Amino acid sequence: MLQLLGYEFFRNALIAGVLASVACGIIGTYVVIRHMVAISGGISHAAFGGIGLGYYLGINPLLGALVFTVGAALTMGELEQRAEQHMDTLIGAVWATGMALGILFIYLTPGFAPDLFGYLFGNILMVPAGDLLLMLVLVIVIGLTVGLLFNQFRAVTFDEEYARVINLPVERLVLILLVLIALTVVMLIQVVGIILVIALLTLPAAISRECSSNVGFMMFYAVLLGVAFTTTGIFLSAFLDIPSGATIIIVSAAAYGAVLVKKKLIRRNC
Amino acid sequence: MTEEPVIEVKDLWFSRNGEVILEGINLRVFQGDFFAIIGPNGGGKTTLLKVILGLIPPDRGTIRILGGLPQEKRHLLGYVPQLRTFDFTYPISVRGMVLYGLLGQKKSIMKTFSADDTVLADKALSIMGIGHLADRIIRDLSGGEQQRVVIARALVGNPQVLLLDEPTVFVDTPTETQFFDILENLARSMTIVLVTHDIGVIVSYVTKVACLNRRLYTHDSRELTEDMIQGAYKCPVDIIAHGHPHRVLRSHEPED
Repeated sequence: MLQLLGYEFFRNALIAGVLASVACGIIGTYVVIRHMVAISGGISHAAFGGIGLGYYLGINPLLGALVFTVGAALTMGELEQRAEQHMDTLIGAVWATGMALGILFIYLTPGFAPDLFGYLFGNILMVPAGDLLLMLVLVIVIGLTVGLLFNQFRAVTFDEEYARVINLPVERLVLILLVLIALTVVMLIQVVGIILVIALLTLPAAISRECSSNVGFMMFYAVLLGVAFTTTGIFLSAFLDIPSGATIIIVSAAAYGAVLVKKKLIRRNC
Repeated sequence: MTEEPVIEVKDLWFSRNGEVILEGINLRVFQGDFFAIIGPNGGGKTTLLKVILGLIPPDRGTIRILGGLPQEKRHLLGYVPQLRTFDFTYPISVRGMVLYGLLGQKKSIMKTFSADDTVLADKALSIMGIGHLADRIIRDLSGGEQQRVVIARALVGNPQVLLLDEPTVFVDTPTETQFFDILENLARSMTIVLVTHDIGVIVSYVTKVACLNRRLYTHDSRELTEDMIQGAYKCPVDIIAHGHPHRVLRSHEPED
């Protein structure tokens, strides 16, 4: 085990797991309490379009993903408010369109897209040091924004109509929240991949919700759980030589299942 | 002397999917009024409150709250919505939810709460008789207790006007009686607009009554005339207690 820590790629993987867990715990809390799991799925699958575009233009695919996720988040938020469409419908459209664009761009790109599988299902053991820096910047942006708007976010996610009555800028706050989800999704692509993002975004927060009396604690516990799940998953995948992203998700899902069973048996929270 | 009304609605029209919900509503609520708006389900009561609060735009007509537009002044009102617009499994304490009623008055972007705010929140909770529940989590409360928290949230900012939309819909009869006692006390220091489908709750301390069923039937007094009720409910109602001007209606059993 200590031998593994001697490798730089392994240390990077652990650091990436911690950074992703911080973002996941904070933003996942909002995703769970405001029921935005499906919209997060839409945003993350839209990222595939950006990754395809990145390959096509020969730039860092994660940069393309950043543009696409933020674009998808703003589009869905705006359309819901202006076009009076059900979020459900918009999610379906954005989800599939993102994937379709990704496939088209990759088809149009000459040659072979080498680590496509990694973007779809994650490969935390291959995180380059440069991406760690990008992740750190995103975590800082997310942390500062949430710190600044904490009380307003709480009001909007708790009771949107009342937030309107007390004259909070509800529409703007919702859009900011969606953009933060988009940034988090980009960070998670490296860790668990586009398809598995939703699980890491929701499972730690869903577990911590069961024993939290306020949003701040819920975020804190979700971060700790995220760190535990990613670290366990990374070690397991290294020892057993199995895909890291999938292992992290299985570990998280097993913990969530255990909590639900325990709750059912004890009939009490925590 | 002409006093400025705290809420003034002029020739308000609203329709949804081609169906007229509110038709030519004129309403003036003055400082100190305890104004009851009654009417059948689907009569437009909740819609009227939401239009007054600027939550939904009217087809035409003007609304002034405290001399300004709803969007400028609504945070100075206390609002108790009919349906629970919040998720009652949300991780938030009772005190936290009440504090949220003060958020609209905070100017800074962080909108942090002070120790004084906590005192105000606890005071609002004790007015509602649930001071002992301040540290509990919303999801552990009963429906009636949650409703008290919702009213405390509306009260905490010491609003000039309190708008209540069917505040007793989730509570049992003894609690309902308590609620109206609390409202009677509050009415001494603030203007109250109460919306209800239950004409039995219109008791002695209401100062003005109007009936709403698409149109608003009113005559600026607390007397509820047979015309108003028949206009609003479209059926004869014989519950007017003639000769008892201080108690316009006696309680009745709901038929439906």
